[in-house]
Amino acid sequence: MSVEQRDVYLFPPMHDSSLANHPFIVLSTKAANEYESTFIAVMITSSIKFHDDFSFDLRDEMFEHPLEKGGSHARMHLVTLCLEQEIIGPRINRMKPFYFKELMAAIGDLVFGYEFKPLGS
Amino acid sequence: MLTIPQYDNLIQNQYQDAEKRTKDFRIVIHFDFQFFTRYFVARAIRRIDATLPTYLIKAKGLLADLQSREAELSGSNLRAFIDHLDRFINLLVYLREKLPSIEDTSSAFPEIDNWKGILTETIETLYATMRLAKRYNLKTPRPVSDLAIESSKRSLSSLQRTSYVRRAT
Repeated sequence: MSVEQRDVYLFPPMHDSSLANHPFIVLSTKAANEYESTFIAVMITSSIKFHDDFSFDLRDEMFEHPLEKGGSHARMHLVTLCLEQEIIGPRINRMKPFYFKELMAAIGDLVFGYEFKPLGS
Repeated sequence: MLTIPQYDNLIQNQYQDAEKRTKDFRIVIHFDFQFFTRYFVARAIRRIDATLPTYLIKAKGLLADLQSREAELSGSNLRAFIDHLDRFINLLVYLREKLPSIEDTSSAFPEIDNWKGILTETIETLYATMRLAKRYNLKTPRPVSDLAIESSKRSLSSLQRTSYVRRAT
């Protein structure tokens, strides 16, 4: 499997098995992902309880396919190291480049205090 | 100098104006151009075309104003402002992404050709404003959430499994 930046994959819950599988958006580049079959991703949730300044709101139009749930948002500060072998099933979605750039800019600014810009921009 | 309620009103008014002005156009997109008379479509397009550039100009002005007031606004409650921004971005994103579906029609309505560029720049400016507002907004620490535990355990597990593979090889 080739995990690429902007892909969305499902992962099983680790903390509480009664929870549903969580989708994650891949942040790291394909080269980094292939290096050790690990990648960096952020979790998507639709829970209103967790909606705050570290949420990046996601809309159907930002993805190649509509999202499964309305009110989805990425938890920007919960940057997670994931293993490729734990992915459930095939890729479920892909974020469009324009909105991914805004997500990365928001993570850079609000989580790391850095200005993240795509190379060549 | 604008007060925080004035910021709220400014962006809320823009959102409400955009919602009103795009209503007919959204109906046209939702169904199909061919179901509507040329007059209806032309009127719907004119209503947006007249104000789209003003959203960009106002967004740029708002961003510049916020950038110049970091010390003053840091630690303020900008929640309502952020929520209004979010709704406005939502509407503009919808419009931007529906434009390709009307490409065939754009030759009949050349005004549409400029929209994507204006919408793209307006959305980028509003996102920059939102990042700034979120940076300034008052934050109170919250208890560790289930999602934070979930994220940490996944990272830890990935790390442990990766280092185990390393030791074994």
